[in-house]
Formats: sequence, C-alpha cells, structure tokens
Amino acid sequence: MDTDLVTRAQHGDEEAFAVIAVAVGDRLHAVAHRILRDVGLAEDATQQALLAIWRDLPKLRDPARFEAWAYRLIVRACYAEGRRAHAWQPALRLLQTDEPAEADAARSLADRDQLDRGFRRLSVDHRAVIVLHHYLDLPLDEVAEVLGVPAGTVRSRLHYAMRAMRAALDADARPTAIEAAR
Amino acid sequence: MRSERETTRIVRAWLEDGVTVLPDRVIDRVLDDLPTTRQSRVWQAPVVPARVLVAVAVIVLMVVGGVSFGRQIGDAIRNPTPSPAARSFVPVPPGPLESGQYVIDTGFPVRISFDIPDGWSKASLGADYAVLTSHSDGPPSGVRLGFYTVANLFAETCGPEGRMVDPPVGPTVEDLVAAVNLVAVDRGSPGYQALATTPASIDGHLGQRIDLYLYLFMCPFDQAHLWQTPSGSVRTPAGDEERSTLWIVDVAGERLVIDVTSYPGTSDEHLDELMAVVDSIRIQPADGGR
Repeated sequence: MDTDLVTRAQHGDEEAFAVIAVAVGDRLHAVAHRILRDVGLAEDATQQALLAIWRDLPKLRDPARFEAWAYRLIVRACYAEGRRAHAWQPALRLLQTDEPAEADAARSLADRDQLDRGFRRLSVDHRAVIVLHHYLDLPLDEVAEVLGVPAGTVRSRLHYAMRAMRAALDADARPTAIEAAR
Repeated sequence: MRSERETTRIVRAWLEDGVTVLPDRVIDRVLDDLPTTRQSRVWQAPVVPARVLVAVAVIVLMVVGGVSFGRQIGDAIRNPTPSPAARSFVPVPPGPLESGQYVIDTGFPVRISFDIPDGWSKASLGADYAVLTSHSDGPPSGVRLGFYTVANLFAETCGPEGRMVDPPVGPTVEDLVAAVNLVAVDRGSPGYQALATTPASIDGHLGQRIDLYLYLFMCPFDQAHLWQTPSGSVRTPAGDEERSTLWIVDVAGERLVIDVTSYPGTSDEHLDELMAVVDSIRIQPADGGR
C-alpha cells in the first residue's frame, strides 16, 4: 500500500481513503468470507472494518504496517459479526445423488462438504489462523502480529485447527451416499 | 488417514473457492458514511523549547527526591481512604453497576476500593472472592477483574476437577508464585502457560506479577480449574482462550490475588479501561491499619 496515500487518509483526506478502500476491499472481503463462510455476514464485516480503518487510521503509527493492521481489523470485525449472527447454522451442501458422478468428482465434492462442516465447528480464532496462513500465505510470525498474540499461540491454534480439519476429512473415509448406493 | 501434507493441500485448494470481489455497493455505503464517522485523534505533544525542558527536568528531580526522602508521606498519598461517597460493593445485587467508586468493606479479608466507569457489572461476591465483568458480551471479548484469597492450586489445571497441590501452597506471595510456575511450567499442563513473572506492586503493596495464557480448547473435556479459595470456591476459565495477569501482593500479611482477564476479541479501548480500573485500586488491611 502506498504510504503516502495512508498518510493523507490519516489526516482526513477522504479521496485518499476511497482509493485505499477500493484497493484493499476485495482482499478484506475475501478473508472475511473465508472466515465467516457467509456472503452477507462477510459484506457487513468488511463494511465495519473499512469504517474502523477510517476511524482509527490516525492511531496507526507506521503507515508501512497498514496491511497487517487492516487484517487485524477485519478479523475483529469477523468476531463482531460472528457474535451478532450468534449461531452459524451449517448450510450443508447436499450431494447430488441422482446425477452420475466420477469417483474423483464425488470425492472432491464430499471433501468440500466435510471441510465446510469441520471449519464451521472451529472458533473464529482458529478460522482466522487457517485463513491468514493458508489463504493469505502470511508466515506465522506475521499472523501473530496481525492477531496480536504470541507466535506460540498461533502455532498451537494452527495445529489444533488443522487437526480438526483432518479429522473432518477422515470422517469422509466411510463410503459416501453415492458410493454406498452403487 | 490422510497425511498432514495432503490435508494442507486440500485445505488450501478449498480456501481458493470463495468470493474475491467486494460489491461496489459496500464501498459506496462506506464512503457515504465517512462524513459522519469522526476520525480518532491522537494527542500530539507540543514542541517545547529546550530551556523549558531543562526547567521541567529540574522540578521533576526535586519532586522525585522529595518523595524518596519522605516515602511515608508518599505512601499516604497513594493510599487515600475511599471517599465517603464510595458505595459498598457488598449489598449490591449481581448485575449492572452504576459508575463510581465502590468499596468491598465487609466480610472480606482486606478492604478494597476501586473506581469503575459505565458498562461494568457485579458478577459474583463471596467471603473470599469478588468478580466484576465489563462489556458483558463475554468471551471472546470483554474483560474480567477478580479479587481472590487463594488457599491452594489444582495440581493439574487442564481437565476435570482433580487433586490439589500436595503439600498445600504456603501462605506467602513467593509460595503461590512458585506453585503457579510449578503447575504451569514444570508440569507442562497442556493449554496452560505462564509467560513471565516480574516484581510488581498494587497501591504500594509489593508482590509479583504473572502473565498467564489458558487455552481451554486444548484441555480434556474443555475443562480447567486454577485454584480454590479457603471457602471452597473454584476459579475456572470463562472463555475458550483467556489471557490473565495475576498480581499477587502482600497486604499486611494477607495474600491477595488480583486477577485481570481478557480474551482474544477484547478491544484496546476495553483493555485501557480495565487498566484504569486497576490503577484506581486501593487496598488496606480489613482493620483499616497498615
């Protein structure tokens, strides 16, 4: 991010902020959608995060750290939206049993379904670590900086979260509805 | 059973599947709201001429010297009696509290006063513990402030309530600090970490400060138990992940634990507010003497 733009926005320049919002909006929204697994909630979280960025920009001491700071705010907004939504009802994606499917395709669909269910069982803390590390490719020390927790905490959360995802996938080792019907 | 590497590959591929474009209407709503969303302003130190700085430094040195010379006077200043307007915390029912100064003045081993702003609640009060919460969304946000006298620690923090440390923890600050470190560090309880122990004081009462992390999700059955008070009350975590700072101080021979807890979603503003409440804490022996 252009630090000059950030500095101008810090001093109340709305046009500079508009450029920033457009530049980071997609990325923040993508992160929010992956954490919350709901487009509507993700849009609300992104909107709240962008407004929080505008409001708190003057407090950002180092404009070069803008992106890490913005990710921190989107994760916080995800916490808030998650609480507001209160219960995340799993929107299960059903297998299309009436449609012939190759084994690989069925397996892939079943994987996604199992991953979705496993992920929804995780807390926002754990989801955030997976998304920041495996989607944004942030190294663990940067994830720790974004979340404001020690690197050891990030490692333990990632370990737990990936173990849960693996368990969700392994639950799929049983025959799927399609396979059982054959 | 899939390998760790295969799981990572599958999860990464799955994460690629999702929305990547923020609809323009969201950006529009944000930009529409800018004029009514005030930016936080940070306090800027005014530029002070060098000779003024020198004069201020001299005054500071004189004041510091005076306080060191007259430590008794300094203590008296740091430990004022709660103002007559302070409300007793004891008869107030659990629930939201009015802002102002409160004093725990009866039925407790020490006399404690503190100032709270709006948004705080009385969670619970016993003969040897008192707990307040703020911004009551609860974990994973909000804060919690507790005062405890601790009789003994659980030997295994993580898991169902089990045996206590044996022999029981001794009566001094150092005894409890050593026991916490023994349980959290030496025994390596999963999900329970003592990050640092440093000398500290609250309201002039000396002791030790310990920073702790408690990851409930790593404990068997999502249960954990930290300590027991003399009356048998048990301190358990309230959220999946707690960050606690314990000030363990000696108040005229009575050991007091001040337990400040936050969660991953606690905002900086709420943490600042919590620390302001901690700064306002005044402690005296129950008989009022020092």
